[in-house]
Order: sequence, then C-alpha cells, then structure tokens
Amino acid sequence: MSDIQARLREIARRLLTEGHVRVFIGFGPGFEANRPVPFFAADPDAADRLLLDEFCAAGLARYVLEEVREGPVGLVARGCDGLGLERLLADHRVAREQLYVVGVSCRGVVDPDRACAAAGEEVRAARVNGETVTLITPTAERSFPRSACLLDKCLRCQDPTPRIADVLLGEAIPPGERDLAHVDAVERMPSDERYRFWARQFERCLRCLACRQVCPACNCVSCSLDRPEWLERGTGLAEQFMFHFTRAYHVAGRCVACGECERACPAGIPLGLLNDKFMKDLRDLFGVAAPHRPGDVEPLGKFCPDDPEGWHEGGEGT
Amino acid sequence: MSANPLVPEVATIIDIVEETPDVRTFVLEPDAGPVFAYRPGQCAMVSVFGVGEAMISITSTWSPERPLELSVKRVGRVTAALHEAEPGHKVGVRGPYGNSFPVEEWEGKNLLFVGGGIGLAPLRALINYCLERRQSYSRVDIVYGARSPRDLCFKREIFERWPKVPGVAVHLTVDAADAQWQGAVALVPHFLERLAPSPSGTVAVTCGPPIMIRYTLATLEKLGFADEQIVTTLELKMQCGVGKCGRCNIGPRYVCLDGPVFTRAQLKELPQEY
Amino acid sequence: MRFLPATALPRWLERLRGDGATVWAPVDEDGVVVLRPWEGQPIASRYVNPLNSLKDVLLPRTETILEFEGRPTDLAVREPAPPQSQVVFGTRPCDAAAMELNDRVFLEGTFVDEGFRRRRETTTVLTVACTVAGPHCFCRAVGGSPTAPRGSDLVLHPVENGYLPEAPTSRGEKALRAASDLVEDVEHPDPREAGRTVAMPLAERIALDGLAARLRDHFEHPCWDAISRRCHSCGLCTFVCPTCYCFAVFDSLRVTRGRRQRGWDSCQFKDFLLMAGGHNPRPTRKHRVRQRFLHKLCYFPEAYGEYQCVGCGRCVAGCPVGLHLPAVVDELGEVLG
Repeated sequence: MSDIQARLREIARRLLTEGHVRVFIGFGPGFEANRPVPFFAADPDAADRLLLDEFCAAGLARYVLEEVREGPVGLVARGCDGLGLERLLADHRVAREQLYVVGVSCRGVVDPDRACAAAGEEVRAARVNGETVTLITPTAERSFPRSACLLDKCLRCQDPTPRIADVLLGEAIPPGERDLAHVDAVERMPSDERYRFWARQFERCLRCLACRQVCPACNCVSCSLDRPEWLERGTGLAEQFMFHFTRAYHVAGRCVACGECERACPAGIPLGLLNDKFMKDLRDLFGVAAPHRPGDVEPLGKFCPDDPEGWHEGGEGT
Repeated sequence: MSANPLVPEVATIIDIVEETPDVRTFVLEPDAGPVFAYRPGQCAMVSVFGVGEAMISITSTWSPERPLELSVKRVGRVTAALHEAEPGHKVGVRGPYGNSFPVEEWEGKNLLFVGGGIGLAPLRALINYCLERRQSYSRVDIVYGARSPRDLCFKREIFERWPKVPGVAVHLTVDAADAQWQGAVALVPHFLERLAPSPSGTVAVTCGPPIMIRYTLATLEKLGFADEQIVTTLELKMQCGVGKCGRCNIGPRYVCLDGPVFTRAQLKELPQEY
Repeated sequence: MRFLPATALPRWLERLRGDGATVWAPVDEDGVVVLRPWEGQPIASRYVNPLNSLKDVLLPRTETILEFEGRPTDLAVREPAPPQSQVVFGTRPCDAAAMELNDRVFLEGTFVDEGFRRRRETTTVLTVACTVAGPHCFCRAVGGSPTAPRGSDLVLHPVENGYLPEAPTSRGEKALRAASDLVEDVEHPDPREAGRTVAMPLAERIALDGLAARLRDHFEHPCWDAISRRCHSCGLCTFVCPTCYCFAVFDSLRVTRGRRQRGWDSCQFKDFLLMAGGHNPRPTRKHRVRQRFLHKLCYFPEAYGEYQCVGCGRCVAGCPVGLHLPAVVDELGEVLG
C-alpha cells in the first residue's frame, strides 16, 4: 500500500495547499504502531503524516458531519467509508460539493489483537491477500486464514471500493453479494431461546453509546434515545431492549453495514447480526437486493401513495 | 432524616407567591421536624417526585420557626413541574448545600448589592440577613434591575420594606419601561456606572444572569473595586449537591461544596469553564 | 503458607453463597468475560480483566435511591432495603485499588455517600493476582503492581494447581475460614515478589512525572483541540473505567408509583453539563476530553495526592479511536515536554 500512501499524501497536500479543502481526514500514527488512529491534516505539511496500512480500523465517514461545518473536507475512503458518506448525502446531512473523496480499495483490516493471538507475538505488518493474510512479526512471516486475522466487520464485507470517489487510487474491486446466512441460526431458534440470547447480549450493554456515536446512519441532530420521555434512563433489561430495538429500527433500511457499531462495542454485542436481520427482511420481503447501499429502493424510508399494502385514513389496514 | 444524603425530606407547599410571570416563591414546611438551619447564600435541592431535582438558592433567612422559601424561575422540566404545583402538594427538599456569604467578615463595612432578574433571590436572603442585623453594617445600597417592571421580583421588599430601613438605598432600573414606570431605564452595569458607588470600605455582591455578571464585574473594576471586594455566585448543573456526582466542577473546585459564593479573586484562579 | 487447590474453588464459593451473600465471579459469555452473580456456572480463568469492573458491584449502573407512591397531596416515600452482602471473586489488583480511589470520593469529606458505603462495607473482595500482564496493562506506571493487595480483602496468588491466599483484612480472613478444611499448608517463597518481574511493556512507555502541574499551567493549550478531534463523544472510556464514578439522578413515574435512581453518567456526553435554559459550559469535544484527562491527571491528584487511574487498560483496549489515557499522556508529553 506504500505507493498508494505516497499518492494519498500528495493529493492531500495539493488539496490543502490549493485551499480546496480545509482539512483532510485520514489516518495517522497511533500510540501503538499497529493501531493507527483517525488523523486530521489541517495544513499541507501535516499531509506527510497521513498513513494508510492494513491496520487502519476506524470508520471515517462519521467525522464528516462535524468537520464540514467549518468548510470543505477531503478524506480517504474505503468501501465502508464510501457507503457511510453516501448515507450522509442521502440523508441530506452533507452536500456532495463539501467533500473531496479519495477512494482506495480495501481487502480487509487486520485486527491487531486477533492477529497477535494467531501469530503468537507482536504483529508489525501485514499483507491481506485473497483468502490469506500474511503476518509479519519480529521473528517470522507466516500466512493465516482471513478469519484468524481480520476484523469481524471485514469478513462479511462485499464493498471493497467506494462508489463515490472523486479520485480512485489503485484498482477498483467489484462489489459482491452480502452473505446473510448467519442470520438463519438466530431465526431458527425457538422464540424463548431467542429471547434469552438477546437478553444475555443486551444485559452486558453498558449504555456507553459508542454504537450510536460511531454510526454514519445515526446522524440525527438530536436523538430520541437521549430523551427521558421516549426512553427512561436506567439500565434494566426493559430499557436495554428498548434502546437496542429502537436504534435497530431507526437504522433499518439505512444501515450501510460498515460494522463500526460492532467494532466499537466494548461488550461484544453482535449488533451487526441485528442489523443484518433487518437487511435480510428487506431483501426477502421487499426485494431490495442490497439494502445497505444507499440509493436503492428504501422501503422503510419512503412513503409512496401507491404503496402495494394500501393506505387507509385512520390507520385501518387491509 | 435519612442517613443517605441523596434522600430528601418530604415537605408541603404551604404558600405560593407569584413574583413575576415566570418566577414564583414557594413556601415550604417539612412534614417531620423543623427546617434545617442554613446561612445566606446556601442552596437547597428541591424535587418534584416523578420529575426530578433542581438546585435552588434559598430566598429566606433562617430562624427556627420560619418556613423555607425558594424563588424559582420556570426554565426546565423540574421548575416547570414546580410551577404546576399547588399549595398542599408534597415536594422533596434536602440541604443546605454550599458555602455561604462571609457575612461576619463584612461587619462594619458598606454593602453594595447588584442584582439582575432572578439573581435577586440569593441576594434577598443576604439582604434580609444583614438588615436584621442592621447595626453590624454601614451603608447599604441595593441596585436591582430586570427586563421590564413586571419582571422585578420581591416587589413588596424593593418598593416598600427595604427603602424604609435607615441607611438603605434601593436603586431600581429596567431594560425596557412600560407606561407606568417612572424610574431608570438602563442595563444594570450602565446604571451602576452612573451611580458610581465608592469602593472605599465596601463589599460588592452581584448575582444575575451570566452576561449581566460579566459586564457588572467590568464596571466594578472600572469603579475601583479590587477583586477581593467583589463577590458573586455561580450556577452549574448539579445532580447530587454533595460533591459526589462529579458534575459541577470548575477545575478542581466543586460549586456545590466550594461555592456557590466566590470572590472575583477566587474566580480568577479557576479555568474559565462555567 | 496456605494453599487452596483450584479444584476446591467452587466448593468454597458455594459455601460463601450459602451464607446468604451474592457471589460474583468472572464467567465467559459469548466470548466476553463478565463479572456475573455466580450460580455454579464455569468460572473463567483466561482473562486479563472482565468487561465490567468492581464498580459494577459497588456503584451499580443504576441504583434506587427512593421509591414513592401516592398523589401530590398525599405521598409516601420510602428507601429501599439495604443491600445484601456480596463476595466478588476474581477481581484483579488494579480494580481493587480503584475502589480505594473511589473510597476517597465517596467516603471522605463533608458528606458520606451512603449507597456506596453500605455496599462497600458488605462486600468482600477476593482478588486473583496477575501472573502475566495483558498488552494493554500499565498498573505499574500508576503505582500498582500485578500482586498488590491494595483494596483487596483477600489476594489469591495463582500457582500451579491452585492459589496461595493472602488476607490483608479481617473480612478476607473470615472468607477464608469458610475454606479452612480445603486449605493446606505448603512451603513457598513470597508470591508478591512475582509481581515485580511480570513484563509490562506498556507501563514503561508512560511518563507521568510532573504532569499534573504542567496540565494546570496549560489549561488553554491548543493541543487539546488536536487531541480531542477524533473523539466521538461516546462514554465508553468512562463506563469501562473502574475509577470513573460520575453519576446522574433521575426519576421515573408510573401513574402514582415511581422511584428515584442514580446511574452512571459520562462527562464525555455532550449534554452532561447542559443546563435548563440551554447554557452548556463544556459544549465541545475539546472541553469534555480535557475535563476527563484533567480530572484524572490534575484535579484528582490535587485533591487526593494520586492519579485517578489504576492502569487496568480497559480504555486502551476499548476506545474505538485510540483516545485512551496512555495515548493522551504520550501526546501531552510531546507538546508540554
């Protein structure tokens, strides 16, 4: 990726020098070498600190909401970031002309903890190939299956390349069809078992709101879940269900499957599974081929006067 | 009383005085036992059960048989619920919280009170305390302003009681007059500048909205008041009132424990984050 | 020296539970190790720290302050029954030390926090010392150690096939008496010494000397803009932190019955200081992130003489954008010297 990193720096520097953007959002060095952090280059020289490698985990789209207030924003976008940006554009939270998107194709991000466990020692660098990942440690260079190295969110990803790049660095990788088969196992559970499954997950919830704060679809100016008249404060199981179901419903049909909620959750709650259940329903019941890609039909996000289900004054359905 | 400082006593609203269109004074009597003892400047956490709690400065001066008075402006959920309450309703009350005005240190001095709007509520407790001990203090000037004449609080005191006390002058102003208003029309800081009270041997105490405080502090400085001579109160969001909830800190100080009363000299030591 | 075989552990905990105490233990739940009320399920052994710390036991996520019932003119208020006694097994030395920091806040000063005091005094902390440090651990950088007894009633030093118990308090000694027939006498060198040699690379990268004073002198330093910029204003760091204790008080009402509770709150939430009327003294991420780190690294040390961090590493492992205490100390070190 180093060639792409060099070109990224060059473009960011030019955009900042020429004043096309006020800030360029990418990744910079983190406290640990294999954990780069979101980085905001605000002047041309800072562009040289931008880095792009297999450990760049965080989604960047959500930052745009805050950053565009002060002027146009440039950013590097992988497929998931691109879908997040599309979400913000579709929701009219930002305008296309406020963004300069430098697209890159992404084959998956290495989870340093997982990779370290697989390799048995500190992982300094990694190469993501087709079905394997090569981990480079101080003593060896070995290949492992993707599932032993990558972030969960990347294992199911079928959107390696952003669709809305102003410039694309490297080759485009065509999108695939998301596999939602993992939803089946939960659907097949008897209802009381399924209840126990989700109750156990939600009981762990600390209500830190990380899932909401990193989510590009949770872009509302103010959130009903902050308002005690909609959701009582407290962390009893009833409130936990209310919180997670409300959030899932609010992003249903709008979730871009970037997986940031699940990555951010400290309690390991399978939020992606919940979102994917809605995806599957949207696909199977409404015939939406890829509900996570904004711009397709949004059956839950749009009112049509000629809705096949009909519309009856006073709420009486057919 | 509960051993848990977060558990309030139940009190009954025995009277409600409509001070202005959005300020009411609630007169409270605890259902069990006398009102806790308190000093001018201290606050009480008042609650409407089922709605929540709010920290309110105490408007009355303490004596064992006197009920507790809290003057409350309608701004948020709790204060709105209080404004809906009627005499006979039960509320929760706990306290007293915070430091208080160092009234003993001020003995023998001139007192200058500068209030704006609901900011007269904590000052009222202080003024009545000092006037009850009139001989302990020298000249007393009360400068008070509100948006309009009908927004002036404690009308009986500012128009009738206080001006009659020897050596006390009440100076009133409004931002905008109505047809009946004969007095000054000026913002409090400008009005104060015109009055030009002497800083010599004087303590200035100011309470009011943040913007008024800011300009009043500047005016007092211009008039020659040293930072140690200027006293004000701060307001910050609070949940517990007892220094535990981690909410109302300004730098290392907690408003609920170390405030609400601060001298300007003390404020200058703190980060400007309030 | 006494030795408790690992196989005796469930029997011992069962006896403690039989005495009417709620026993908490780390259990593996869908791959996440969580402290849970223990009812005989398998106890997790391979973990650095559970998701939830001792804070969850002593300062619960929500706790009822009072319950009320009636009409506005005729209202009965009552306090909930005092908490049952609790035994927490498997906490780590860092979490136990964290409770001593919280003691300073809740038990010292003009007011004593009764809810916390009651739980604290009826809770027995059975710590399992660490023989290895996790990649995110840095207790040594903040005065702790993998085998330190601070805040524990009993420290169980793991050795082959069991534990060497050390009881710093009489409460711990009492808990151990329930295992008197399970404990054997063995010869063993001081197990605390093992703590000194545990490798902890992260701790060596954290330089805290003199930081409190530099932070105080540079309150308005522009570095806070850069440091806080990647913060998403969630409350993850504060909620997983065993020493963060901020709480909110809130009411709920169902027609004529309701209760007042307190629950965790986070200084990182944007509405944390939002006042009725709209004024917010900490409106931006910069204000809030600065508050968090100044509280831990400046205000708390000024009040109590030590940093408000025990190096448990949960913020390091958890923050989705790497804005954790070691990173911030590092970034501050670069700009403040």
